[in-house]
Amino acid sequence: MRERKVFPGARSKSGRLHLRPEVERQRPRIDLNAWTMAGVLALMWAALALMPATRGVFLTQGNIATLLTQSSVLLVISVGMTLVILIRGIDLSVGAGVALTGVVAALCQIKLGLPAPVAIAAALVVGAAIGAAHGWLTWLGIPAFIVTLAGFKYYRGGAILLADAKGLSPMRDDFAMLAGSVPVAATWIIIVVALAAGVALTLRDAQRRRQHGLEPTTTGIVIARIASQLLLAGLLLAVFGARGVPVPVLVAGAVALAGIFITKRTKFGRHLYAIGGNPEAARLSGIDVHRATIGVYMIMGVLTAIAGVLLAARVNGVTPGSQGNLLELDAVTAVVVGGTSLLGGRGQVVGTVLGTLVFATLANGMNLLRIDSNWQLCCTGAVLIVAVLFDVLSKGKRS
Amino acid sequence: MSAPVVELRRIGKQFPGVRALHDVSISIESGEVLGLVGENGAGKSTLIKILGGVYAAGSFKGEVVVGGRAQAFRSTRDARKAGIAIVHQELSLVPAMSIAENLLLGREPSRFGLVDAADMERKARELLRAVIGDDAARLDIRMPVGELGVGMQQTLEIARALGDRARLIVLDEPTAALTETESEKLFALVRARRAEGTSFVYISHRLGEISELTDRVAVLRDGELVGLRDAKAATEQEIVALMTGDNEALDRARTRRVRDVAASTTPVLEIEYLRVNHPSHVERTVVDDLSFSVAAGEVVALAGAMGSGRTATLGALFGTARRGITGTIKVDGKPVTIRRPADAIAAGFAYVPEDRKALGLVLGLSVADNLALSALGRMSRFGVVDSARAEQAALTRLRDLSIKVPGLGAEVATLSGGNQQKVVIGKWLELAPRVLLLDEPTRGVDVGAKAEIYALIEELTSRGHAVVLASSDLPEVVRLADRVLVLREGKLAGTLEGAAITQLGIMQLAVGTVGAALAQEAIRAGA
Repeated sequence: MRERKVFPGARSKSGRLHLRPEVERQRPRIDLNAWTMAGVLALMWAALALMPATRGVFLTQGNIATLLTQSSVLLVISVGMTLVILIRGIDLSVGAGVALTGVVAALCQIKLGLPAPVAIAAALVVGAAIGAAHGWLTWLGIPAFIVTLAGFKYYRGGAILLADAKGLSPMRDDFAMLAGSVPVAATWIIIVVALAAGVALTLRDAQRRRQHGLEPTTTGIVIARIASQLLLAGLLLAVFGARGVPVPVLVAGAVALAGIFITKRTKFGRHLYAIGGNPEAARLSGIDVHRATIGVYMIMGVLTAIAGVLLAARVNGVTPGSQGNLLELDAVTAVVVGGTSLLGGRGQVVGTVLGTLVFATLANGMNLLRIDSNWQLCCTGAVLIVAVLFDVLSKGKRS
Repeated sequence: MSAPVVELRRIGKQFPGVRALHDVSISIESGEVLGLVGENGAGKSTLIKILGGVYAAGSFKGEVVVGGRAQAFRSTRDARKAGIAIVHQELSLVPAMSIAENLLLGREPSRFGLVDAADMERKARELLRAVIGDDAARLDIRMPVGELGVGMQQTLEIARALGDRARLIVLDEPTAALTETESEKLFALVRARRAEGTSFVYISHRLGEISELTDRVAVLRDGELVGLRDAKAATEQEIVALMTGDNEALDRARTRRVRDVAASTTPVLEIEYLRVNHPSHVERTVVDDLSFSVAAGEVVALAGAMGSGRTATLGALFGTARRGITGTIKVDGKPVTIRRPADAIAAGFAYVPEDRKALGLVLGLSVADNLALSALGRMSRFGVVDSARAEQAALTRLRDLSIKVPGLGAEVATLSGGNQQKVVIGKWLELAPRVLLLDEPTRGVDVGAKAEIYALIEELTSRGHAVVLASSDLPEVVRLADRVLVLREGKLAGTLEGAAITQLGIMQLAVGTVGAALAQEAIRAGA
């Protein structure tokens, strides 16, 4: 452990307080939790790759692509759930919302014969409206648990009524494209552009620190950050470079990056931590708690609609009675395993991404190992408890 | 009078860095009402917590003797069993449960685990009849306690204590939340119980009540028992002098810089006819027609006993309560409408609340995040935070306020009280507020940090900020204020300026039983 220095205050003759020049080095904030999770994930992948029982299938291009595609709907929901839980909220209605928005998109195509963009827009509008209603009702003082529990029932019932209790399929061809892949050339362009943006942002941050006379980011850290971005881009190209990235993966990736950006770098996102940590102190600091709350639930609603559309495209239809069933609880599981506190104010979208991948890996791996699905359920439950227990114990030791 | 019911023998209690009580010995006779007075922080609450078993035996020095036998309370339950009941300011009734259930909570009449409702109601009625007589018959005993007024709730607490066969009942500022008639009823009840042999310890800031109700009065100052007087014979001036101590020398020696307040003629803040109603008991007025103004560079202090309207005034200016506020507020001559904190901030106010952990800080966040809490908008473009600018601003705050932290990323919960308080003040400075509203800015802060916060306040005023200070710490008020408004029950009891600002002067206006003229005279004599 490095010795912790404190800032010693000193007074000059003018009576103003001055800081002694030797300012402590600003340690880069390392998120231990996220690194632990990434390590666990890497171990899981290594184990599954080497296990003879998986017959060498796990670490193949096709399997990883399937794993990521299958986790994309859950990831979209989980990113939204992270924001909701950050402000001490909960949304139990997302599974039903996925069905309802899916039905809306399906009806637009099948009954009204509208093109895919209009159908998608209609689903997104419904999602946003649902979210706004949740935000407004919690603002009136109804606990989020109750508001969204009502939604859980209401939207499921609504979806079944709208669909006349029948499965809706197939989707129009232009809509079914959402389940397809982006062309190879576009995949390369998207990944390279994203990489360039990441590198540029890293370099710009370092430059701005210098401009403001702050202690510069060390070259080592800059290199490490760029290297990890290169590694990630390389992995994605290895998996999707030959066949093109599936649209759901692309959308989920974009949602995750947006979630990370919003929570880490925007005023709105930083305020969410204050609201979740101490709503009264946030209000007394001039933060508009109500507006932020409504904003968060609207984001959740829009993401629910995106997930609904993606799922409807992937299964090429909507079964209103079961589509998205219990998705909300899977999302809460991923968020909590990702290190976000249900008490609010603490958490990272990166953790949620890793938490979602851990669960996707677990499911994928157990399928390859031909483990019975009921045993898979038990296993998932055990992992949830172990992950949170680990978190609780490590925090207990720290204090 | 018979043998003492309860004896406190040489009680001492130490907190980290603070001696809360030292060598306090008091005995309470059967059928006696003992008044207990002292300034905030004098040790009253520590003493009753020892008496009531909140601080377990072994965590303090000396002994508590009940009925001739030394006790070792490990919990409040033990103290209750020994016959000592404490009625706290925050009542300990369960609001959603009925009167009967509350009165018999923890000892419900039952058979095989089933509550006997009829027996419970009968017993509850008996208990009530003992305290309010025939009125008990008219009360719906199944009514939830939360629907009763504060006065009635207090009465229930006393009834419950009697049900426990309490021989000593401690009343901690019982009248702070009561109306005149409710207080009269309470006094009648205390007198009736005293006649039957129950003893009371009565804590109050209102000296009039002390002399009216109590037999003897014990005065605490800085953790020591400085006087035990016959309540009827002692004059109020004598009690006040005991409470504040001989602080005249200290008052005169206070190191206040000379300020040219008159030079800044235009007031920064003007308040006219401010009226604030209690947020939950709307019929009660907590601030009544208060008017004052604060000039640039001036510190105006609001002093007064608990519940006198200090915090309510600051809260009204900052928009913490949504309703029940009337009056005009002007900043730099322009009238402002304040409905919520964001409006107040836009108008140029900054607020350092009394309870920094509950209201001032987000404890789980880092020092940097807390410092940026109210000014993130200034550090953002199109909603995206310029983290380099935010970090630079945070470093400037650390330097200017000499906040001692292991690093900007340290959780604010890990800092000492003084450094936390500086963070609460620091989060406003980026906004360069016109008026700083400080509520108990040095509560729970060690002496060194206190001095630094005073220096900071003086530096801020020298830069032209106006300060409204609410404080129960009289030496602090004397040290910082250019003008002191003493409040009593929501009304302005008097204004002290310059050399007239003394602890004695403030106290006399605050307790308010001495005529204002008399107080002024005393202050002139003192100064």
